[in-house]
Amino acid sequence: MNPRRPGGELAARPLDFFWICDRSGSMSVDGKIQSLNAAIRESLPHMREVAEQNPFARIRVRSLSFSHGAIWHPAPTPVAIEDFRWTDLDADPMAGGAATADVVFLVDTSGSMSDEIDAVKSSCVDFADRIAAEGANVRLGLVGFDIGGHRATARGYTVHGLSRYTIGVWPLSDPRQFKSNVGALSLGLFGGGGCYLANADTVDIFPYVVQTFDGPAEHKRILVIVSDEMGGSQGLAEIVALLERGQITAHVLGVAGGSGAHEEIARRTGGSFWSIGEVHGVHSFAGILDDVAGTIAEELKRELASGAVSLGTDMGAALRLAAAELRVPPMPARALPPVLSLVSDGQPTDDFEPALAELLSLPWGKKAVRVAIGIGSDADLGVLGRFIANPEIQPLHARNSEELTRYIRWVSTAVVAAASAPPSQSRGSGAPGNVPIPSPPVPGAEVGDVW
Amino acid sequence: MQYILTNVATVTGESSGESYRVGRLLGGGGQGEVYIASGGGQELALKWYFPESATPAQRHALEKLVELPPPSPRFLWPSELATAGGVRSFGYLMPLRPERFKSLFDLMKRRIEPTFRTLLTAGLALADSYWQLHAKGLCYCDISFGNVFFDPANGDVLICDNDNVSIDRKSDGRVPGTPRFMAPEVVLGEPPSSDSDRFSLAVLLFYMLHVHHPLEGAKEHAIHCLDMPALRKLFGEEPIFIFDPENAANRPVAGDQDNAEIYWKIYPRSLRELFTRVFTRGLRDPRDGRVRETEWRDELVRVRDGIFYCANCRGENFYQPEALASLGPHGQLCWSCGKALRLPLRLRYEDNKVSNVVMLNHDTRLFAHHLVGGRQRFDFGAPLAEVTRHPADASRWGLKNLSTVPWYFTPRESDTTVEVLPGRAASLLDGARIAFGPVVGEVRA
Repeated sequence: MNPRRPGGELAARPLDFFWICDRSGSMSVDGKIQSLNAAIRESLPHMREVAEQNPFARIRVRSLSFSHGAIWHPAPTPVAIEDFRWTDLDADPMAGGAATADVVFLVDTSGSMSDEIDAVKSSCVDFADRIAAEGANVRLGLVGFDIGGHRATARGYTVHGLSRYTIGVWPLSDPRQFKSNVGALSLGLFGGGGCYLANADTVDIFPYVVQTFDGPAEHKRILVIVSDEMGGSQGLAEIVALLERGQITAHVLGVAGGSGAHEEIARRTGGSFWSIGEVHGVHSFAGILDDVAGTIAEELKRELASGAVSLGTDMGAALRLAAAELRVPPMPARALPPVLSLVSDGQPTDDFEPALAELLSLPWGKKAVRVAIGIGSDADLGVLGRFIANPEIQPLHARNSEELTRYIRWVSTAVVAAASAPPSQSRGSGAPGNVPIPSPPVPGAEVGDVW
Repeated sequence: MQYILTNVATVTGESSGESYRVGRLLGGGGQGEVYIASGGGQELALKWYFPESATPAQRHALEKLVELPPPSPRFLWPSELATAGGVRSFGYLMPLRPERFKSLFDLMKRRIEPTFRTLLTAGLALADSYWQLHAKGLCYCDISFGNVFFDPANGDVLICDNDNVSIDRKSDGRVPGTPRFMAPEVVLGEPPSSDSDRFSLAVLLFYMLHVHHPLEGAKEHAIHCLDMPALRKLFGEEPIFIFDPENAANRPVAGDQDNAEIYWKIYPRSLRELFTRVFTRGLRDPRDGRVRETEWRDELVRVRDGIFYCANCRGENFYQPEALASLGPHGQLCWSCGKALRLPLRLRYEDNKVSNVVMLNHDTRLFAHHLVGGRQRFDFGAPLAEVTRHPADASRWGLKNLSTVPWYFTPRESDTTVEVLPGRAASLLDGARIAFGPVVGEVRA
């Protein structure tokens, strides 16, 4: 055998493709979500074919979905099209009741906290029942912390000695199991020394707090911080960042004023603040916990809703997730225009406009080829048009599963090809934007299973 | 992919009236899709246009093309138009491409690994094919990766998608071409022509031989988002050859654009000079600055004849007379293993007052364009001579006469001439002369 000719493959740039799919409650009707799953699965071999004919591009795919909030399927890491597998999306149920709220208490166990600890121990089941009444399942967990070192035999919890604090972690469990778990919690269990959130030395508690939320990302994550002492705010930014990354809302039962750290943690993670400076006795503290449960329940009610109302179509949250991936890094400095493909059957229920503005303010967001498919008669084509933000490209309107399949295939082949290496173009065709988008397929005359 | 003919069972050939059954989808492009069609006892390829591409102008162009004979059998030429009842749009039939032909995408992605010799054979077959098309007053308009195929075993080529072929300089610019392959003047709005075809051919040959684009250097590397405005700037408004001897502004960037440098050094200077001409003067002077197809053909044959093997690793290397002159007989190093190369015996001959040198490797075969002279057509199917080993003495090499006429062999400094009948071999001895007919060769060590 002669030696192979030298060198490697043709130098190629990455082309990042994003599926941004609606899986709100209304997608569960008339088999829409099933059609979407089928259409995307069907399109993958054709997308691979486009990739094979495209030595200029390394096509990488990500997918994310939105309903109440938005999540990656399965991760934000891009996957080479050759290796990409579609994970079927499940639409949210139309009625409330299936969602789960994971609630973790972060409780200061220093000397002054006896009323609060006893209240948590005694009222945790009522607390959970109150939330469950609004249609959510609740799981409870606990992290206790103070200074001085663990003073018992750990049963049902795990102890971690940190830079300054010692903490104990009780895992998430159902309220009744939790009640028996926290029997071991007592004053000064971890040393009894004072607890000063958000001093810099309290930051290393929070990775353990985040880890305690070990449920799937669609569980609503709520942290309830209970502490009657406050430190400075040196650790505040890091603590808030950790909680945000974990998609955790923190409600704080703490001290007002001072460095303002307690109020800030609540405000910046979307939670509420209760001052416990004036509260005394187990009974009155249990009353506050009831208020907290009520607040959480209200929020869940707003988001979970009930009856025939969707759990939310948080398109804005989806765009924010996509925008985070369009920054450099994780985006490389040199690439082909990314393709963002938005599929929705409804209207956004969250702050869509600022999220879109954020996306379009990013260099890669601006350069991205944005296409959108509206499913059925309730799709808000105006919103989809604003997402595309190019008057030459109209959102596609899929009125039945056949049209959806054709549009999905068009997006994953013709649009991808145009973004990576534009094919021979007829003069005058295509938009004047930075990527000439080929004409979409013409809808057929036959309208079958109409949405 | 739109599967426009998924629900169509048959189409009708417009001139034959034959009914063709529509089979599976073979592929899709910017203008339409290609299906298998069977009818009249044969299988053909059927290209069907997307409605927006099925214009009266396209139909008119096809009607003209089907009346013309293919410029050579290497063109999968439209044989007739096709229509289907109840379906808008139309298509045309053409011969099917056999499986052994692979696309240049496969070459760029290194899914196939042909030898240098095969690549040069394919390159000269392409130059020769486009020459035959241009000689008939036609232009192709969209020479690019997607419509050229070759057999990685022997370098045979096929040219597909001939529906954009136009009368040269009368192109209506229906399809201006494919980005990266379009000549700068076409990127900027001129209609394609045989001049722009010659630019696209040069890009294609450069890609095949370097696995890199001739204009993608530091300028491309500095671009964050490679979109249409960027492509227009790189290939239309401000094109600079990566190896422009007078402008170093666009050299390949090490690490990300290594292929170009690796290959550029391997090829002989005469080939590099042709590329330099077409990608410097030829960028700005479409009419006279570009390399003619016949120049490519002659040069690629010359480079092919200059291939010899490294005695150490068997890597294909290229005879570089200028290296021989400046570095001495062992000055050239193998690109693969780095060892000094030793030239094999070679045959020097004159044809049309042009001096030619062919390396006599263990597997060298000579053809009519070598031995008959007078600019014979290239036909790599019918060798007239091949290097062979003496049947009794493995250390002796000869040149076997595979032609139908006798040769005349004269050893060095000898007056004795020996007849070499067809089927016999002449010994390869330094200084020996072989008269093949009008062409006389001399063996050199």
